[in-house]
Amino acid sequence: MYKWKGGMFSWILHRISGLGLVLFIIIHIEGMYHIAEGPEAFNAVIAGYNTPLFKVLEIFLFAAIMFHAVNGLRVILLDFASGSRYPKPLLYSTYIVVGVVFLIGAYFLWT
Amino acid sequence: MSYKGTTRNSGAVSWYLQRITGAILFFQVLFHFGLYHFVTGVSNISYDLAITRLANPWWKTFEFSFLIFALWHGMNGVKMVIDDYITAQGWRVAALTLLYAGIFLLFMMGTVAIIVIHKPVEY
Repeated sequence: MYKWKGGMFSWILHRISGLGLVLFIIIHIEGMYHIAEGPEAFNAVIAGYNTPLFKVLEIFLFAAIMFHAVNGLRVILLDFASGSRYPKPLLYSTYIVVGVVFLIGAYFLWT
Repeated sequence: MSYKGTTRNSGAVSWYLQRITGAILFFQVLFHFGLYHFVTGVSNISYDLAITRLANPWWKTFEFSFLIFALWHGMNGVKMVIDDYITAQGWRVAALTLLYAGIFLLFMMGTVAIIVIHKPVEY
């Protein structure tokens, strides 16, 4: 019985961010694999990340990681700890923690 | 022919392991991302830095276990999505085959990058 709509919104965001992180890990492992080709190939891959587009993607990645990690912790607390006794405060604190850490982190990533 | 959803596998083990790996990944991903994106900075990463860190067996083990947990967690997550949305048997088999083959390929590439590559020995 999912009557609290916020939990459903988090469920959808968890799924979307998870699929995004799978897409990222494909790109990430492919990129890091070039270390096998030696210094020049690997350093060229890293140099390719030094563009405004990748800076924006890095901030999106940070957002996806933060939400998926903190919301995933909420799911674990709901299932295994006493989180199910306080679903709403837990849900709201998830958004607050993710929001605050994301804003601070995004500032440092951008500057 | 559509998938009837009847199977001996209840999915309880996958459900449980998704939470166990998730709890481990919570710490691993924050450490890994924090180190490379905030402390080191992506623009400061180089072949020398990467290969020097991977020469340390603790770094190597950390990154390798991160690879395994992340790939298992991601694979299991995508399988849940396939279970939910792809019901036609043929498409299910195709999607799951692509998923498992892709994860295996990523596992091999990640292992080459983390385990096989060594700091060159100087003679």
